[in-house]
Amino acid sequence: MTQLLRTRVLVIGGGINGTGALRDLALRGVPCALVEKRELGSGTTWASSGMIHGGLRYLQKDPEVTHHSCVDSGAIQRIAPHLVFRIPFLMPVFPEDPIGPELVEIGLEMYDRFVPLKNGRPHTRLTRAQALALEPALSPRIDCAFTLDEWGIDAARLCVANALDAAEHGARVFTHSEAVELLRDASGRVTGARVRDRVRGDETTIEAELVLNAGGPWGPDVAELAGEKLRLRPGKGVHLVFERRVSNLAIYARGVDGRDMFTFPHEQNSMAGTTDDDYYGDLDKIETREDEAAYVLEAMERSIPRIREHRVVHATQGVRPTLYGFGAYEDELSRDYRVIDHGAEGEAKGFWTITGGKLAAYRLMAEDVANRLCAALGVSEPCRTAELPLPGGEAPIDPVEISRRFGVGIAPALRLGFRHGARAPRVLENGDGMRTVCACEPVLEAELRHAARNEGLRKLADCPLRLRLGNGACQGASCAGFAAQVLADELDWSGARAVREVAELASARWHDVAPVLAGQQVAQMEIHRAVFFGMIGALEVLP
Amino acid sequence: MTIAVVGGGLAGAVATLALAERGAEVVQIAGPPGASGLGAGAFDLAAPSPGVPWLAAREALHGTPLGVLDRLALLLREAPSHPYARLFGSDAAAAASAARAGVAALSRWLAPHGAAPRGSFDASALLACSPGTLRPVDFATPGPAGGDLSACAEIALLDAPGLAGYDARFSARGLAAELAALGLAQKPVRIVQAAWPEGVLDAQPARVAARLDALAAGDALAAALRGAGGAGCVLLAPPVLGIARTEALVAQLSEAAGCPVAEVLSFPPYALAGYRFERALRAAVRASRARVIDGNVLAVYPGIRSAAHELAIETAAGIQELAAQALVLATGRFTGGGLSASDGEVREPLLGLPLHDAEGRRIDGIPAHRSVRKGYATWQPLYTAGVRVDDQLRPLTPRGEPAAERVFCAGELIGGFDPARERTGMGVALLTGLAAAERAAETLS
Repeated sequence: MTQLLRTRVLVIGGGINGTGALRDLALRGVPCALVEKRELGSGTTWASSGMIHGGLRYLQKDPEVTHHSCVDSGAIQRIAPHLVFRIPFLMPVFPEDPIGPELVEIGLEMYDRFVPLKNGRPHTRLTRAQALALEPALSPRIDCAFTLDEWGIDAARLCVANALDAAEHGARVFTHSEAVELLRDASGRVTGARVRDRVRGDETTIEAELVLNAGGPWGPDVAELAGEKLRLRPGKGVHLVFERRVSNLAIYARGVDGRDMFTFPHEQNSMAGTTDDDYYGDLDKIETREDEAAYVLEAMERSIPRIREHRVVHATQGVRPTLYGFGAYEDELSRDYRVIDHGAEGEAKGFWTITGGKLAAYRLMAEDVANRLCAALGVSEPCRTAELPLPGGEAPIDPVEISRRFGVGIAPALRLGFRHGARAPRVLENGDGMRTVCACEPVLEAELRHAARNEGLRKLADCPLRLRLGNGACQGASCAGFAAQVLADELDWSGARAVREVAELASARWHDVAPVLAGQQVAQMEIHRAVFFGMIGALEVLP
Repeated sequence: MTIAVVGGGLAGAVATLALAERGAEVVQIAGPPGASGLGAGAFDLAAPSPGVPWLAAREALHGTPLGVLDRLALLLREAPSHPYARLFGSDAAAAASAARAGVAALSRWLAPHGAAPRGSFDASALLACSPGTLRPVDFATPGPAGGDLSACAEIALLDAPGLAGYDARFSARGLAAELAALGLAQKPVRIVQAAWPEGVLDAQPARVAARLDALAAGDALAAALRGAGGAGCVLLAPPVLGIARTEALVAQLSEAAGCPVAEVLSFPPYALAGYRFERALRAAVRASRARVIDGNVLAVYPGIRSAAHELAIETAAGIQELAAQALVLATGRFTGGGLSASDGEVREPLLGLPLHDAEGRRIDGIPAHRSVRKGYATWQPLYTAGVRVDDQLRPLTPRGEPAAERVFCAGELIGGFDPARERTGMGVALLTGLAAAERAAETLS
């Protein structure tokens, strides 16, 4: 049976651009809905560095991007203070570097002018001895080093926070729901979409006055549904994810081709990356390749000589929807964004696209596209996304108080404070979920139940993204069975469905681990296989 | 004449026990726990229908089950790279008698420590896993062994509120679905809400198990379960029924409940079956006349010209040296440390033995990720790989010659099979452990 939903704006794509735009529209009182064919933030957003950094890199060619990013980084810290964490960076200068310390410092002095916009501290210059004392992992070959300030964020959680706030202001959010066809009226105007729920298998028709394509790298596919051509220069980016801490601070490294990369602590892991290469492959089957992992390690080794002794747990891989440009190297392409009114620039009236941009500037981009959509709809409400807090950002949170009040450890309390902010008590108030499901992070049963009950979590395989469950060294071997029990209870799964969910999680983790399988992780995955084959029994359900 | 056994898992322990029983001078270097300590409590010699347990479950329920010995024969025919084929060629009768002798010996050694595996050579038991899936097994450790659901009339699950990794309702739901999928929906599944003894329940399974080792706690739980079962019923419990006295506790609870009581199969960190099993193996070795060194073998200098292999062993007291005329290597695969991938490439760290996957390709000297494939459930060369051996269990060079004199391999270190998919890991450890002991002893005599 096909259901029918009428709204004013339909957003296609649940990454940071889609959820950001949805929240902006919803806060202006515009009825809107979002469809995402997988999980919120599971594409480019999840594969990002998880940083709302200002873009020192863009200062030379795209100072506008640096400015946007810094301004909006400041805004995100205001509306979601709980979700951001400071990442001090260390930029080593080596004797053989083409740009010496003096020139580097001039660049950083320029950057310092933007830094207050995002509440950062100005750079400092460290002697070799000072830098090595601060960060023993650093190569002793350095001449000197500089510090600068950036901010990290859980990008997937940021998507969920935007979607939750939109939903609380009347928006509808459909995950695992794919727009399979765009509706057109007699004049050719786009009037909505036919949407297939990929979990249940049923369809919904969503009628809308405007359709916004926020498909990221899938944007050209969505545009094609409207008969429109959208040209991008998709760029693949790979990160290596290490167990726990490689270094205390984020450390710059330079690739053999001169590209800047970094290793940085992120939540319970450390990450290193990223690559940037033109990508023309299947967007639904993006894989990290051996040479990409080797390229990243090679670059990191120059700054952190013992990097190979650290345990790579898995890789993340994604594709940036970079704006099209001909003749430039990947790194030199603009990180700017575009809003396209296809009715004006092409044929499909009522169809819009937002593409390109940086995670750090997502709110500004959302404001821009919402302004234009509102103008088209005749809505004059102003944007309020820079003032109103995201869910959880309403008030400061005291993890010690949470720990004491609910009798949970300080580590889970800190984690809940980080992810849920002022709403952390709501997660625990049901009182039936103090057991630890995943010890790596640690994820409490209550948070898993809360995500299923109140935040639209639908699949076990989405938990590494949603909750970081199964994202640590064991890759779900210790927690998948328990987590499936909890979700089966919340979502009323049959036993067969629960087993299928466990199998999907195992396969999804293997996809991210196998290309970078090495060291101790080889033994870990040996145990992983014994546990999953032993637990699931039925090999035929394993993809 | 000293024989050194390197490895503290099942293969190393049975090799040590067999040698001690023969009167040999045997020293076991036990090392840290490996794969044997991580099991769920199932003990398969040859997985019901190799690699296709789902089919096997169907078989087991629809009346055409293959006995263990038939399956062993099948494996010898179908999997020429399997260690069983090394040991027995195509001689199914020899495999069968070795299997019977092996299980008998293991039971004899473990019985005094309450850990003798239970099961049958005739038909596999259908045990429940904690997600409510069913797993046919040949033998099992005392905790889960009594939980055969293939013939019972009713299934009851003991509720344990607040315990991590166990949810009676969830398991019940899974079991009902799995039985229905197998065409056997008629078995009623119910939840038993018993009053757990005061102060025993906890979120941590290990804590609950340790508390149930106290006699008073066991008595109280038995009292709470009095009459909870009934004729034809099987009462499934969380995998926390004690650590040191599981066998006795299971017997006590079964008697009180009036039906078999058994733990569901579950993996660490939510279950202790593997831990108990390895604990019992260690106790059995200590009770034998074998000498045990708790330590890691750092290096082996094979006795090429001299008669003895020299071992350098790292112990809590410092580096210790040991000379042994023969060596049984039962160091496991990656989990046990018998294979290593820590220096970028896969290798066998003690003797640098060549490693092959089940199709005969070399995998040592190659980064691990090049020996894996897309697709979780696909055949993974890396996880079938190990040392190639001859019928004497001597490690072989790529040209098929013995790579070292008086060195014998046992357990998962031997390649050519996938323990996770085929579920013959325990059987291989047992039968190759015994065979390696025999061959080492014969070589020296």
